[in-house]
Amino acid sequence: MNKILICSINEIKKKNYFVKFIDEIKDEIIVFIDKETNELKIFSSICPHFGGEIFYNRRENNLQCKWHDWKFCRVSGKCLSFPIKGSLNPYNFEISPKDLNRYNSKIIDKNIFLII
Amino acid sequence: MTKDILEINIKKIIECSKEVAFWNYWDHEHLDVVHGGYTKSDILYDKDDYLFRMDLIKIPYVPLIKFTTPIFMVQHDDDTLLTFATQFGVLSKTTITIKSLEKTKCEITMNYKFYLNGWRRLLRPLLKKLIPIWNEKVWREDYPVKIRRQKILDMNFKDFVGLPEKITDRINNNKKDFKLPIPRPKNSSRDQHPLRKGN
Repeated sequence: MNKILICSINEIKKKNYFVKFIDEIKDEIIVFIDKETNELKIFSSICPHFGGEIFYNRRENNLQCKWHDWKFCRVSGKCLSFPIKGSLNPYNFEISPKDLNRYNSKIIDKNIFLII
Repeated sequence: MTKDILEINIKKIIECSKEVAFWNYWDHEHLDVVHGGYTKSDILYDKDDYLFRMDLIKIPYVPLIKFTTPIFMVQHDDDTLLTFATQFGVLSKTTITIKSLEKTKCEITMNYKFYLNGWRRLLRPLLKKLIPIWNEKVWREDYPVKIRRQKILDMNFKDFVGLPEKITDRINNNKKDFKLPIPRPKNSSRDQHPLRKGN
């Protein structure tokens, strides 16, 4: 089990979420504290649509893409804007947005570690 | 006749491929999310390499004034994109030429021409001032989008899928194709106009 330091709890409190590219997993992640459950969560912050950056919208309590406003469930990572398989109109193209990848984490001495 | 034309040229270099730069121009769904100057953007018709769109635009520094502008866009050839529009009754033609400098570096030339005949000549000083401001604002807003798009494509990102499952597969330095049209999901926010294709 590998532990990778992401940020301190204080850094998340400053702007509700924290985004960082983690070279070890070649993914960019978002760390935030769920407003409803007060639970810390980590997801991939690369939108499966076109790759935009995901941010945590605390007011709406969901994850949102900065490029096209697609919304994702902050619990499951499932896409809320286009949640089911469907055809792309009008180009005969299949759309199946994947969930945002979820990662495990651990807090040690007020620092957040990614567990991989 | 040529004295009726106001011409403005702006050249920029960016660290992304020509394909990514063109993708950004043809990704219409980002307009009202990424750009502060766009309130609404409706696609009425598009097919392969051309499109007709209606945009609701805010004037720089006067955000309370909004106007609707019809836009026709066409990918003229591999290097050139043309846009025809009218703003306040002024017909304009924008020619975007993108030259590849390196695999992930290109030069974008933006040529604006406004047809200022009759009373429209009065708008010359205003447009001469506003267009570079508008261009710079849009450029700054799009800049991180293009840089990020290049980065994630180099990580083998697939549209509508995401990154590969295996970390070792998250690298791909091959040239990425640019294919029109850029796919939109069914019921996209761009396809809501009552006069859209199919209605």
